[in-house]
Amino acid sequence: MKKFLTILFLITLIFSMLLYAKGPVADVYATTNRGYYDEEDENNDTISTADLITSERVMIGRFTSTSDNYDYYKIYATAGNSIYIELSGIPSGCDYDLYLCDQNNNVLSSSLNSSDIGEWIETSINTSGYYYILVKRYSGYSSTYYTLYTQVNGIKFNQSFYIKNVNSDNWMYWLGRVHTNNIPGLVFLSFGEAEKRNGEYGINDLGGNYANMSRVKTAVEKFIQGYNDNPKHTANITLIVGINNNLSGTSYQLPNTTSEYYAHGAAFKNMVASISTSGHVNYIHAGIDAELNWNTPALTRAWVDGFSQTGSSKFLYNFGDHAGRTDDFSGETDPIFNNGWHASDIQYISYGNPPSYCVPEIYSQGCSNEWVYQKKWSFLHGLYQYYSGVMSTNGWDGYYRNQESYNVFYNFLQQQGYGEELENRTWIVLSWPAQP
Amino acid sequence: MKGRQYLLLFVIVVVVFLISSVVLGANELFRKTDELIQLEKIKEEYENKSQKVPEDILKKIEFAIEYSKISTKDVERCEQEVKEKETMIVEAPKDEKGNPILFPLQGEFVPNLSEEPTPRPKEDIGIIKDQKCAMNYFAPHSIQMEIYNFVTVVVTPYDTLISGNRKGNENTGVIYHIGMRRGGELIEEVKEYFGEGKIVFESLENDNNIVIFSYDNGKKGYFDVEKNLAIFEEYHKP
Repeated sequence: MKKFLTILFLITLIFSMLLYAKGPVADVYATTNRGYYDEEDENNDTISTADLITSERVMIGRFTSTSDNYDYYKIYATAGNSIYIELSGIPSGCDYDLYLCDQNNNVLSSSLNSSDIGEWIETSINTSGYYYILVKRYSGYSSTYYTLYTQVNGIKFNQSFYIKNVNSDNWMYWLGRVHTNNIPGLVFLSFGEAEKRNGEYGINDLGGNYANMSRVKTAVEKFIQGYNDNPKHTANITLIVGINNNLSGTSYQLPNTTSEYYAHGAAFKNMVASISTSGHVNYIHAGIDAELNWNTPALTRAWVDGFSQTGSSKFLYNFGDHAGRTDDFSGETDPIFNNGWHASDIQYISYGNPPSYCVPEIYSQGCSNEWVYQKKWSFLHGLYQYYSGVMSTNGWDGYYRNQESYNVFYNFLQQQGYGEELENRTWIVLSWPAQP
Repeated sequence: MKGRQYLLLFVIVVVVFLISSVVLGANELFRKTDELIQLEKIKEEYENKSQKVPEDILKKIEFAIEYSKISTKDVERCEQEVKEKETMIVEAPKDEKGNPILFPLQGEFVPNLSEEPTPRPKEDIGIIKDQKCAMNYFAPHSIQMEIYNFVTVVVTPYDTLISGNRKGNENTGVIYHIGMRRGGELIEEVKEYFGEGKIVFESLENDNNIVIFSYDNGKKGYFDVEKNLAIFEEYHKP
């Protein structure tokens, strides 16, 4: 009997191993890669069951039933720290409130706005210890997630967005009204790649939706309306209507000629120039996410020239990358990077061209090196480069969080003798949930 | 005669006043943008060091001044709108929490997450693209580019799949999946397949929902997009 059981065990083991090694379906390992947020862990309905969170980490949460009214989170802060908390994405028809409490559940600060317009708390901490954040369901019910962002100390970043649903007025309005925080500076709306359909210039957004220039204009106007319709928005913002230099890959992809890129740049400029500022959106400019691997310098420069040389009356912000070398290339005549780009090309589209400015992507140490050495190279070669700010992803996919992006870039510029203020700090939100 | 002198003096005073108003006031006729303020600081730094201000900076200043002039009226209009909004907030009736009842969501603007966005099929489906296109889906410094070697990409009605293998462990195949789900949720997930080698997309079947691929040096398999599942067996049409 013992022998039989041993043989049976061995057969089962071998059979299992074979199945594991070469099964018909081989989904052996899977990881979800949605970006940069944590989801709350229910039950966190009381102060004693609060979820521990960390600074700058985006949290999503929701109320699971109509009897679920409280979500508690806790975070550590030391005396002298500041705490900034932002609750956004409150579902339509609901009203949630935000409280900051001490360990005895005494309310230290609160934000009690009505409806879905978001809540903000900013306060300073006198005593070191855990502090408790309460999201309270005041009225309405929805099982849709809200977004909670908490930051202990540091510089605040406003939010920018990749547009994935250009054709929806609701989305654009909601993005401006509910998801944009109340921090002044440059806010980028990145609309995707250049396209041409039936002789008409347009864009292919990040969700794969085509829109002509007229539709893009309407989408931006809806965003502006949404931003101004939030009575708690008091910060003036400059809206940057952006595009990138990637190939759309569809049958409407912009033909690869400099004349087409030039004409598209001019059409995009005209569209941006036709959008009216309003209320707290007191400036509107354009942007280009110029990524070296995505397109050639010739075509990208043609687009920039089309934008700039056809009676341009708008600034053009480059918020792209600088891929290729992270070593100090500043002493070389005109170093070459990925896809045939030279340092002089990057300088031209980032500052040398009169309307051009730059808010570089600083997602990692490598990005910081590239842009700092680019500035150093520019100055050493009689050209000039200043930066209007810094763009972060706040930790998407292993990249730096906002503070790291700013600190690393700021400090390295200082260290190399090219320090500057970096006035605009923006966090481009790469995926749901921060974008509906 | 004395009267004439007074008159002349008066005319001179008026002319001087008018000219000085125009000259001195010229700088105040427009609001400086942040860009112009920054450029003027840069210019000042050069001047303080008795260095020549670079031509590029001067051109940018010229452009920024022109823009500042154009935008001044718009900025003033915006300020007026903000003032009106502030007045509206003060004067608006208040709700039970004491907040102003303003800008109520109206039919057109009620976002409905259960319906928005309606996933729309992509238009250029059924295209298999090469390595260059596959790599374009990721930023140069991204973790994905560091970990994986992407070789092909395929666009299906609602999903984009990018295939390849793991760098340094080339026997592990990979399919990176970007898709839109009902409710507008964007999914991004990476599936690794140990021991299957490099995965190369080859063709599409069944209304572009079945993606045929090769793996392990020429063996055939397929990815069922609807089931979000890779099958390492030859596909047989139903």
